[in-house]
Amino acid sequence: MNLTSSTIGPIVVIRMAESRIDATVAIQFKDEMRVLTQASNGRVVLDLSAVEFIDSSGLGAVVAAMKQMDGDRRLELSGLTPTVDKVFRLTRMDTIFTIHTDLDAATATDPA
Amino acid sequence: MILTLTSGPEAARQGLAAVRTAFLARDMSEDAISSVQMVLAEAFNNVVEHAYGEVPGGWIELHAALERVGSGWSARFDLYDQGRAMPDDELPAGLPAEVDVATQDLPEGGFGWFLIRELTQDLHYARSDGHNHLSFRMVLP
Repeated sequence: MNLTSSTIGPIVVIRMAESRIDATVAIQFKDEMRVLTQASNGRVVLDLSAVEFIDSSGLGAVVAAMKQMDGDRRLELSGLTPTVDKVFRLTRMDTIFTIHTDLDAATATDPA
Repeated sequence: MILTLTSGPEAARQGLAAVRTAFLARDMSEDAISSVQMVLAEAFNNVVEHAYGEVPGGWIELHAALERVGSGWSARFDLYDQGRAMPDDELPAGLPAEVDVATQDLPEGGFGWFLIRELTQDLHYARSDGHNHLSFRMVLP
């Protein structure tokens, strides 16, 4: 599963290069996110611009990924495509993440 | 269309891809197809994970009928399998997830039936002759 990490300044950017976060990859995604998010105690942005589809398992895995982060850190999301955005909005899970349009927006701002 | 699948780790992806191809051929919009995919992903996953308990090989059949309504569609779906019955023979409530809670108390599951109920109408479940039958309609753009 293609999940890669890089840094932009102090921000850890994790890019999900698979097109689907669904039941097939949800557990793997959660496990790999645990490892990658531990590399930082600051901001972490999950780049979802390549993800075209997410089901309830995938949504749960993204929530779990945030819960795995230490303290009260928020997982930030970037580049939600239309279907993924729809799933987050319908379930109101868009209210629990900081969501950026794209990586430029994510790295330009410093959330309060 | 009638789609027959064999339950297993790839069943949902295969089913969704087949439906997408068929509906694109009917000129359904991407927005409408994404709603269909969201519902069918949950329905297929439920059959694979719960009706068949992750045991591969079971029979799954989807019937889909589309009707043009204005610039959109009315779609009727019937999903059949021969797995275990729904607990208590009834559909889960699919209540909205709690979002106004501390991070550690956020739910990691239970979104599936909520999404199905949110996006469908006339959702019914019936069991007869060792078959599960889930049916629903969708009004699509």
